[in-house]
Amino acid sequence: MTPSTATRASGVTDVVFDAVGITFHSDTASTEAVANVTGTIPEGRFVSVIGPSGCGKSTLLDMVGGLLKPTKGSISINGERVTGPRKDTSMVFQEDSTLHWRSVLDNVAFGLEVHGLPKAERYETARSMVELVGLSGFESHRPGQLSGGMKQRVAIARALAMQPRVLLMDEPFGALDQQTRQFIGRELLQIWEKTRNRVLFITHDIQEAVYLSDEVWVMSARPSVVKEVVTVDLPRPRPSGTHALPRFRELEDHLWSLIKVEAEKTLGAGAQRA
Amino acid sequence: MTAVIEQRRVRRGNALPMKRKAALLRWGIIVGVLLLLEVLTRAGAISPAIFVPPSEIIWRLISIVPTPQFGRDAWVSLSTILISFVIGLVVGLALGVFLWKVPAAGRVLEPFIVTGYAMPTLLFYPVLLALLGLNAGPIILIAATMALVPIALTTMVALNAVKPILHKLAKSVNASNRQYYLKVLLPAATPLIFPGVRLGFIYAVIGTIAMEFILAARGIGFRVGFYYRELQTGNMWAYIMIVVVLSVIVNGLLTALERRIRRDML
Amino acid sequence: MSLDTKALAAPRVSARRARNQTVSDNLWRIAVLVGLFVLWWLLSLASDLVASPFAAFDALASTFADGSIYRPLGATVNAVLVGFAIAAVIGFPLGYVIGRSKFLGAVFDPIVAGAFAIPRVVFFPVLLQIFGVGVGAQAAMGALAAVFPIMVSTAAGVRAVSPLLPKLARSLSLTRVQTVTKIYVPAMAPSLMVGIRIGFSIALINVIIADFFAARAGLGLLALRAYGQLDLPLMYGVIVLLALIALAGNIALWALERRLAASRR
Repeated sequence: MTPSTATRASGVTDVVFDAVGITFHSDTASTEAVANVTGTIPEGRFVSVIGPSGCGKSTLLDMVGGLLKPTKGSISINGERVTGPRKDTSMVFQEDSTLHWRSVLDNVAFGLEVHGLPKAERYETARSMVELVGLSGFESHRPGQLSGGMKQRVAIARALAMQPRVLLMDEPFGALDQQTRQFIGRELLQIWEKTRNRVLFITHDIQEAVYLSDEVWVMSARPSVVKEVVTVDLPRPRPSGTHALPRFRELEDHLWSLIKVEAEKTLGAGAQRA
Repeated sequence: MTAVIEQRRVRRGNALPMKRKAALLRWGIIVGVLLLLEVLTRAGAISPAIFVPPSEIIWRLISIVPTPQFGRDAWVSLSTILISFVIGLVVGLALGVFLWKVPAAGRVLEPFIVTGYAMPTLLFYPVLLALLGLNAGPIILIAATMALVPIALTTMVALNAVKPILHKLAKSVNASNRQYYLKVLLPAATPLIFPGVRLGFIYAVIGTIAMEFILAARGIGFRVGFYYRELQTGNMWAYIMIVVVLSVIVNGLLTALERRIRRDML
Repeated sequence: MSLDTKALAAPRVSARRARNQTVSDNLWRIAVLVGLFVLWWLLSLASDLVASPFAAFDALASTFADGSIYRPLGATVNAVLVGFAIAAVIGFPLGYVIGRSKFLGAVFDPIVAGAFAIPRVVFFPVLLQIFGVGVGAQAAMGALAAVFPIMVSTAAGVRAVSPLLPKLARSLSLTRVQTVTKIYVPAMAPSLMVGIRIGFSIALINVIIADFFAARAGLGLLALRAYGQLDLPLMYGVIVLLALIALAGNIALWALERRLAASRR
């Protein structure tokens, strides 16, 4: 069952997944990580991807970012096939990826610097991004002086500074403690309300997926397909009270039941191999 | 979030009094030992063939330093140190990069390198003496070899220790290889490489002075041996003190630089 | 976070691959040694001042045959062991104390670090005066040099010990001595091994230096005498012997170090 989101009117700048699959070959085995993913991410859409461990969520993200090539099918952005890293995508990783020898401002300007933007322009953009993520006043600080949550905000600012067509986030809050995670999730939405990028957001946290997104793609176990696309029809903006809404609970439960089945498959397979 | 930064500042503030107390005690010990030696040597408890009063050593130091002979000796030693260090640095960095790029080489050569650390490159001094003659050549070569080993090893380890996520980051923004090396890899590895560079410099100093002493060639190391053979204990100790002061200053400067680098870049 | 397919493949395969890798690594190492040997041989053909490896081994072998090697060999090994022992007796306790106490560490660290940077060689004339020519001076020089790396690595080893361990010791009501021997020493063993290995090497280097001018008998002295008598093959032979001693000692200690590290896991 591969429901497609293509029924929605798709724009030319959308991210389009067309029967995307990838198989990894090692010296001894071939593993099909992703079997068939088809879908689109239209403008301004916040899409979360959840699924059991090892189902290829990060791999999917890496493919959109051009770091991996699909062995089947293709991914297109703005009508062009993704063949490598591009200027219109940017990534935020789970692990701290700030450059510790650079100031916050220089960190945020990093992507623009690599792309060759002149100094004045990139610092202007960097400054506004720093303000956008709520780190005004910390421009000259070093990452070593910042907390984990602040460092991730720097990473987000850096990614946003490149004004990507799609923002790729690989469990960006996974390394943070739960309180910080909820706090920064709210902040992310506030920032996103202003920039409205397309977002592809990977997470293990079902609650987080429901709270943040417009739709949630539930991946099956490996070799993975998109098992179901769950539309999150909660109103925006989403204040912290959103978690208490009954509809929130419904969506959470539904997603959990879908995941449970796939997770058991994965765990079962693991137990067999051991 | 500002609270985190405040916390760190407060913690550092509380450490200071202990540092100051420790420094006081340290200087107290040093001065105390010097005073003790002064008393013992003047009283004759320590033979003048072994040690002379510190006050006399200081006096001799003051009279030696302005002399042209000292200037020449110092120039020879310092230039030898610098040349061997630079050679050791260049070769060491290159070797370290090679061992990092070709991990198999690092694995294969590890036992050799581990011993190379230990192996008295000094052993080959007679060989080098035979090959290069009694000049600065053997000294520079041996000191450079001593310097390059820690530099190469630290460089290899440092490059390997750079977080792989930074490479992924560079790829994700489509950085060229050159941009990755210059903007990411090198700055990321520098605070880890620098301790090796510092050690390399220290070995260049040690190697140079030791070789000058043994080879009885020229320079400050030579002077120590010279005055020993001339039974001029006072002058000998004056030159020993010069070596001590030089080493301590160099080490101090490099350690301060290392701390700065760690603070700004780690 | 990325899919690690290599880890998914059957784990049994990696053990076999590791063994193959060790075999090929060792073959490469042998190749390197052979290469060095060949290089040496070529150099000896090119220069009068370099004796051929065969002549060197020959000369060395004959000293073993006529027994003339044993006195210098014994003297050097003796001096290294005694020097190292002295350095250990002084260095381990001092290093431990400096490492345990934050305050003492703050006091003495700069002194130790500064002293480490001083070429110990310059103090050798003094030691010569004190001990006279002979094993005493050689051992003292070795000890003076080796004590620093031992102190530094012991202190570092103590500092690296998890703070949970002293708490464990207290909860078990161990005496001071028991705490040191049963808790700290095993935890610090790898760091101690590093200190021992480096200390051995540095003791060896400095004993050889001492040989050059403070010895009645020793391998360094033997090499120097051979040079003076223009017996180049013997000189090179002795150098090779010294190198082998350094290599053997180091590899043995390094293997011991690795075994200790592996057994902890």
